[in-house]
Amino acid sequence: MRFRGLLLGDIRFQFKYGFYFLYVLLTFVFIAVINAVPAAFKAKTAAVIIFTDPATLGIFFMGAIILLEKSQRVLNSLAVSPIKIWEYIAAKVVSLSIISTTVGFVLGVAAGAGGIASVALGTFLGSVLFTLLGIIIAAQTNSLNRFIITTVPAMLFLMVPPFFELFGYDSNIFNLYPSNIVLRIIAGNAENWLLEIPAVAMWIIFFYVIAHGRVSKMLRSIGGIKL
Amino acid sequence: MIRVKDLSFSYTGKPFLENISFEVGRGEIFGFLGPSGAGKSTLQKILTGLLSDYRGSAVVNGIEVKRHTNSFYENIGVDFEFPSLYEKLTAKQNLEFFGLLYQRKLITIPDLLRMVHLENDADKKVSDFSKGMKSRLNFIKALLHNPDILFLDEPTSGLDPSNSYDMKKIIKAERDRGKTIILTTHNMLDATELCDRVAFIVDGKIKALDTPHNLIMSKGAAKLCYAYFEGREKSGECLLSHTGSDELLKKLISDNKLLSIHSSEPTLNDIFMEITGRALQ
Repeated sequence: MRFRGLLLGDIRFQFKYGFYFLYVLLTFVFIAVINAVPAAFKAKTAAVIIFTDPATLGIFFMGAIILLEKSQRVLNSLAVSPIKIWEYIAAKVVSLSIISTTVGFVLGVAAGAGGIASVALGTFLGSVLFTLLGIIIAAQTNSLNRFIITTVPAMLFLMVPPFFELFGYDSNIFNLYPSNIVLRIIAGNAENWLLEIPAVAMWIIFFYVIAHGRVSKMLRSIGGIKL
Repeated sequence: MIRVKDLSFSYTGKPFLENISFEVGRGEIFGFLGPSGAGKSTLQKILTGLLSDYRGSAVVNGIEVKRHTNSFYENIGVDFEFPSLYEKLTAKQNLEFFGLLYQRKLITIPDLLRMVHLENDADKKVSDFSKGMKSRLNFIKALLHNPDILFLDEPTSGLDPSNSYDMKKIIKAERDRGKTIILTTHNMLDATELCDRVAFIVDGKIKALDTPHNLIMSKGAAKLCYAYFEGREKSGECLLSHTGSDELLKKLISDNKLLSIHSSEPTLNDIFMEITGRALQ
């Protein structure tokens, strides 16, 4: 009931702030781009677009959402309500994954991607990872500038290795790197599911544990302690 | 409902709250009064479970606060001094959202909005609300789940006299229904009017704790002030208990020479300054 409330609240918040409208527009733009490239490159182009946008949108949207919640002091009320930290995090992750996965699915269909379930799964896993990363960063920042400055190295760290792999640089170092696995799944290149899915699940658990700690500190800082 | 014993707290190693002890019963309005930085908000944060590394004991609703679980908040309502509302949502949507966070039976949204005269603004975005309207909405948000304990931080701040009067009426009505209310304020008039008991907090310590009436009567005797004409307008004063021994006053009365006469009781603010040596506002 409480999780449902938080989830509906987050979806309503995202709708009111135009996230859905923005992604309807962007989806049309992305479809136009995919249709403009030669057929041989469609699938790869779609994979790049899905990986760099819907799969990673969570990190930026999370910054916007949490900083708005901080500026409107909504977190004060949430801190003295019966919600649990996992409910707060899960509502944000699930609500943004709905947008990401839907857009990823639509773009996959538009590109005529063979394994559409794989595209949707990869987009979903990427969304969860990057939303958790957004929570980790946003929970400890109080300004948009600081959020952006902190996001850049995190994005480089996660975004560069998958592109090396996508464009042919083959190295075993990044076999179990979370963003590499996500792009591999989106692009339909995943071969070792039994290893890759548990690996990405472990990364998600790792990010979640850090996010849980950050949100806990954020709510405690409302109580006046800056840790 | 609330029992605090030998409570101490420190942000930095240096004591911030020291040996605070008091009890608040069901159906009582208890005021924390003190200048900014005195420790009122910190005390409220401890009682609402936001700060847990305190020493001593703070029991709220039978639960030692540092060991509270999330269900602790089912029975507590907090009205922060500054609105904590989603600006892009309407008043009704805000109340619906926060209502979904509680398991308890809620007070209906139309009833709450009517209580603070916002029934015609239910579908208006909070960003279009005035400061006073936001304060009133924030207040009813704390009442939404009908908690037994209410923490109110400057509840009349930003309200016009009429809405301030109505707000105080609602607070007293909630007290009469059996709610325990902790009021944090700078406003001595509100405290005198609303609180059954007040605690003066200065430098992290309780300097006095009693009913406003007892504090006023114990520390400052009422005076009689009078004015008369003797070449120019002059004034005099004496303690109300010594009226019969003021020879000048007796003569002025017998000669019908008084221009004005009135009794003058000290205010809670006067008592606060006398006890603590500090100004409140």
